[in-house]
Amino acid sequence: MSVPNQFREDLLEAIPSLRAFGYSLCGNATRADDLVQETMVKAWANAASFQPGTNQRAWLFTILRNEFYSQMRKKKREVEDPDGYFEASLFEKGRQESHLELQDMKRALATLPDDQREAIILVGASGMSYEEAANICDVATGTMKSRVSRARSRLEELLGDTSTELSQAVG
Amino acid sequence: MTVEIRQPALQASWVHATHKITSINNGRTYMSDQSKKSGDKQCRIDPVVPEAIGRQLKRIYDRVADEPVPDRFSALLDQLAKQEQGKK
Repeated sequence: MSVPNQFREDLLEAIPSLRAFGYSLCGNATRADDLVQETMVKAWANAASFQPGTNQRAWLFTILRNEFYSQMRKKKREVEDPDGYFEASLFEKGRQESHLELQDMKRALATLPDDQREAIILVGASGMSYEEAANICDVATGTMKSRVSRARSRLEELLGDTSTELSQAVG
Repeated sequence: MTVEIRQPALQASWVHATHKITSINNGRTYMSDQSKKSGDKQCRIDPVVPEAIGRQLKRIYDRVADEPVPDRFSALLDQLAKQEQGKK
């Protein structure tokens, strides 16, 4: 069975959000793009199992997320680098952080447990609903809600006053 | 304190919700028991992420999402399509 044109077009269209999701998950632009590439290859190979008309973006996010965690498991056996999240990317060429305040947020994100980080990124940044995010992470909607809310409390604690001031400065 | 936001349509826009953050220092301010109310899930969004945090998250995310798609990905799609042609 050949891959429908629509599938291909939608895949192309999803790339920007896949890259953003990948980057938010791993905090490293190069690694994020490798995740996206792997996701595209897997999506293509499994195109037949995708039901047209269902949520392709969520389906692709699920593939990327699975890929991310399977790579993490492999990596854990090598070197564990808990501070690596976002740190490496901060000084990458062409990606220098001009906004200092976002560094605080990135550092704060880096301290969250993986499940809470992905939850708040999916619901708070990617625009996924709780239900979609819950499907992507294969948990109940209630679990997703409580992860988001714990992530939020933690970020508030870490960022404290700064985020209020910043939101005013930015807005 | 209970903050409820009526969200008419797209959930994607909830981070721009207009509720005022009055005491962001108090991490528990927005964790109201009301957030677990049942039913009506699709149209009432709990104010789980305060605007200030949601906005920063969006900026980190959007900075990448707004970048043009690198050529390697369209090239990859071409390659995948070609491989498929070859199989036939």
